[in-house]
Amino acid sequence: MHRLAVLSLFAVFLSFATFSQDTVSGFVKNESGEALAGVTVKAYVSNKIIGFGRSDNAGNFSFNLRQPITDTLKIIADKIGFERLERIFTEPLRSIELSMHPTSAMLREVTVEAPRAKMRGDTVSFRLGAFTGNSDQTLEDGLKRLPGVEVAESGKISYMGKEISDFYVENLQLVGSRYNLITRNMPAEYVTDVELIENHQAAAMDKGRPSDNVAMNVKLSNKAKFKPIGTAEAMTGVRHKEFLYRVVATGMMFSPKFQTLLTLKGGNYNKDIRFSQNDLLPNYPLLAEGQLSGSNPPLSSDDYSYNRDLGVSVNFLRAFNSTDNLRINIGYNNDRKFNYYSQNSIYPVGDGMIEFYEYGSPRSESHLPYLAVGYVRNHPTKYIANNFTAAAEIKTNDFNLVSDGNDYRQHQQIRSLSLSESFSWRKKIGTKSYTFSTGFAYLISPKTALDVFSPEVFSAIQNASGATFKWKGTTAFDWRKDLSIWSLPIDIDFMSSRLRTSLFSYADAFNNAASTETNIRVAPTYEMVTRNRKFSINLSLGTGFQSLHIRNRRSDARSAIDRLLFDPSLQIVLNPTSRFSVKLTGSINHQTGDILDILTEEIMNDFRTVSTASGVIGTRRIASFTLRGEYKDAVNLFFSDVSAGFSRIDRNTINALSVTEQDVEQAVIFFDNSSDNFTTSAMLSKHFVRQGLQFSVRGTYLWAKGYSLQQGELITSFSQSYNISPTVNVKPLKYFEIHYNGSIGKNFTRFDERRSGFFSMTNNLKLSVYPVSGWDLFAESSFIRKEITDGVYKDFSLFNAGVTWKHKKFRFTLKADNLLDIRNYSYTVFNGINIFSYDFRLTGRALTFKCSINL
Amino acid sequence: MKRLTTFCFLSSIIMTFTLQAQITVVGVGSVSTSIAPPEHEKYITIGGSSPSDYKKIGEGLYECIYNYTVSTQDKAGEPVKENYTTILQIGDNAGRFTDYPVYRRDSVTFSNNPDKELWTDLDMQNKKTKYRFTGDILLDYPSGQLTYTDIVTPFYQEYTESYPSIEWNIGEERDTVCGYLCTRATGSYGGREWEVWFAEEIPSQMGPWKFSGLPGLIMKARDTEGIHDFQAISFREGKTPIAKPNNPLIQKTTRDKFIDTKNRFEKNPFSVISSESIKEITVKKDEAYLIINKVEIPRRPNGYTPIELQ
Repeated sequence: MHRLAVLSLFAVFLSFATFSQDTVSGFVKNESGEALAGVTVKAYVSNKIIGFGRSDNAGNFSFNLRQPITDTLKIIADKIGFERLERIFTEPLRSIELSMHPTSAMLREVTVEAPRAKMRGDTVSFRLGAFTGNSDQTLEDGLKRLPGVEVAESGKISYMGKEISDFYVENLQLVGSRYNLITRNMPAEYVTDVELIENHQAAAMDKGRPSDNVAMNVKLSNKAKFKPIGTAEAMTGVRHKEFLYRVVATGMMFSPKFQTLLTLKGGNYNKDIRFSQNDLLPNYPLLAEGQLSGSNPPLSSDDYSYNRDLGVSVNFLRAFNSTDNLRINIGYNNDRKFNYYSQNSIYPVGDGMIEFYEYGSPRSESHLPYLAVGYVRNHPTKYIANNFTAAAEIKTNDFNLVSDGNDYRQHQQIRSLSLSESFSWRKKIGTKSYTFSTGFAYLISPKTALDVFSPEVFSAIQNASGATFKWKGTTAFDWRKDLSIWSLPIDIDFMSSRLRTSLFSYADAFNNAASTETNIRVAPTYEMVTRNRKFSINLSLGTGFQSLHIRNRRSDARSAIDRLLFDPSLQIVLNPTSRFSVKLTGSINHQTGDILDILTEEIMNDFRTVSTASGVIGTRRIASFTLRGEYKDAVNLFFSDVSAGFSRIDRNTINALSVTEQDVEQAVIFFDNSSDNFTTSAMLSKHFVRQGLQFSVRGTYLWAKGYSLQQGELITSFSQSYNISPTVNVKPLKYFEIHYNGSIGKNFTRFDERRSGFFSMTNNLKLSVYPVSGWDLFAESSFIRKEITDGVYKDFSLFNAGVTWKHKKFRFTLKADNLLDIRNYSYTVFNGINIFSYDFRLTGRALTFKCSINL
Repeated sequence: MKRLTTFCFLSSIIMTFTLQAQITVVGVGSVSTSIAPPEHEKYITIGGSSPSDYKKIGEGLYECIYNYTVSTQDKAGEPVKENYTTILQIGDNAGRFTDYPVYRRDSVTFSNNPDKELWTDLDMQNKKTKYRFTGDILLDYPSGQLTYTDIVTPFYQEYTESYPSIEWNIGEERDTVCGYLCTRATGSYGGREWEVWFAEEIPSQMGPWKFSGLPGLIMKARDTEGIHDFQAISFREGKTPIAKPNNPLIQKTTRDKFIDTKNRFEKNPFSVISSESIKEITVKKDEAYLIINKVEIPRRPNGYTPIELQ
């Protein structure tokens, strides 16, 4: 007891010795002595807050202290619009009076920027505005800036090396595969976010199941939603006394229930205009193929070709509710092309070689009308889709040329028509789901007429016509149990084709072929995804029966194949972390030839080339294995992937080439052989935000071994190629930007102790200067170096420059293309055995003025 | 009989709603089809379209915009995050915390001569807002109290409670939120434990929702279960007055009664709507929701996740 009393006294003494105070109270006033309400008064000891209070309407405050004062006491008074008041006290306080002075100083304004990229589950979302530069105009320009995203010349978009399967605007699919109608017409400023969705399932009822599909969804800003928007461009110019013009108009509307896109384009100069003639045309099977021109140089078409095109498209989508929508796409394209070039072809024959030289001017025109109507009900438990497409193509090729001093006139007409209809019904009931789908296609393709004529030398007429009817039906049953899904799909398809050809030349040749093919395939599949999605497996044991009968009534050749097939596939995916994934895939599948295999009588492809088939149905067995790793760190804008794949193809036929001083004969011969391919690829993409640097690079290595017959000799060829393609965008200063993309590679081949290697390099550099707001001065340079023969290089460069002024909704561009007026471009293509050298005449310098407006 | 009448009447409403027709119901039992009048196209808020529809209680000196996220599940049981944009107006003596689209509409109301096109654009922008924060909170108004108003269709209910009302424990941890150095504090309110971060540099004792009473503006608040999360994304000078809507449909109540009624209402709106109180019903065909007496039934695609449990 005595001890306790002493301790108590000691404690009391100690508290007095420190600063015996537990409350602070006082009064706050302004300069005029008026009470100030709402002032925050804080008490600090050693910079640690030990109590605080707030003055009432009368200016009074009082608060408790949470710990004894062991040091000096600091009192701070704060109020918005007043200077902060600090007072230091070394002695106990009874009541303090604080006088505050007004201030005009403002608090710091801060706005947190939304992150440039977010990753959530399988979706990476990019805030587009954080990546686009001053000169980027369209959505496609912006997409090219996104890490991990690549946009091909045709407009096709890939993410992490995989081509996107579906393109959505505000979660609705307006234009199907022709998404570049949107990416090349939508102003980038209307887009807020771009989402890349991996493991995408088009059917909502499959959500959560792994897939190889990647989809892109574009989110729009409020100003682009609900009300009609549009863009219009008009261009005029001159190119060596030729008048250049182009008009593009686009109208769009994107509301939750209705989307539309209307486009109209026309002109004779396409460069840098939003609407490229390389539109992604719908993938209608067996449409017209072939053009009487050998190659296309790696340049913009307008650099070497005189073009004229006209296109119109009308696209509507009506969403009846959140799951049902109807889509209609109608369009028409008309393209004309014309260019001049010469070609030198070298074929090794024994110890020597045969060389052909020709020059001429291919001219082509195509008409492509199409219609697509699609209805989809995409409910979490029900999926119904119906698609109808109709497309036609009428194409004319004229290629007049001179070879060995002789004039040749070639005229080719190709007409084709395709009609297809497909219906799919799927239903999910509890853990089970059922699928039924059917579809047919009718193709009239090709109807070809080739007329070759050379005065006093040669004359030939080649005709061809054919039709194909296809029907396919699928029924499937899926059963989900815990983490596993068992599937049993059964496919049946039937195809009937006929094809007639007639060649009238020195020796007439006729084919009258017909084929019927039936396939029945059952593919029991096991699929499992762990709950944390770190592991998934998909094993499919495809088993089927195939029956293909082909007959050429003219030559009475017949061939048939009736066989059982086993096409297994396995996919294992590991996701150790949300950023890192590894995928292993392996499969074996069989492919079989078609009616073309029975065309045993000669067919003329062009004035120099005739081809014949073996009469034996070609078969191929493809075994392939791929290992792929991905690392994505969206927050730090770092994306990478690496993959390695091997495939072996076993065939029962081989391509044979026979070259004489007069012509080239292509044939397919019955001969068992195989080819091996090994591919590796790696990609790195990193954005350094502070430094204003965007960098990405893709590297590929290919190795292949294959067989071919040339001049009756079996040739084993080995080839390797290396390629590295960097893209760099750097903006060291606010008013200066450099963009570079290029490709450097070398191809090596070896056959019959002959070795050769060809180097190629393409560099595209663009410098932009923004001296004042709204102005963009730019210069572009393309430098191409190609190895023509061993150690002999051909260099080529193009230089463009221009200026853009952006004023409100208008953008005016004055530009000179091919400023140095370069008129020739030569390059060489090496197919492993034969060498083809081309020399294209370029169209020359073009001066253009363009006005565009966002409506 | 009254219950039967109510049942029949409400059943007809639900059927109508299901059929997604655009129908205006005038008076109990009489149904007529019509084109919705223009005002029904407007974004429905507690506020009006003229400054006279408000009682101005102070100038807005500063504004802090908060992202409010509710982590919940959709109807299929999949995790989903509801993202709301909210704003705190900080005045000399009072503040207001509300849904950002509501604030945006009010700021147009107080602007000089807003034209019709501006209203149309604003309503279009606001209508696309997927999640709407329905509470409207006046901080330190009346002095020393907090006034809370929320939708309980066909009325708005309002109650007051003491301000500030949370006992905070200030910690020593520091972090930067929205560019300001913040200090951590914890406290409990409404049946949840909260962790908040406040910026001493900003001399306001306010914060998002009802949070207040710390020696600096609260920039971030999160409950310990991680369901409700407020995060400041912008702090800026204010230009819009702080005003209290003078909506005649506002009914006074107490906090306890409100929480009980609100939670029942959000679970099943028709459990608290009496047939006598209904004068007019509009079924919005496109957006699929109901407006009763010009007060909409809040759209909750993922159900209601109450912020206050008690």
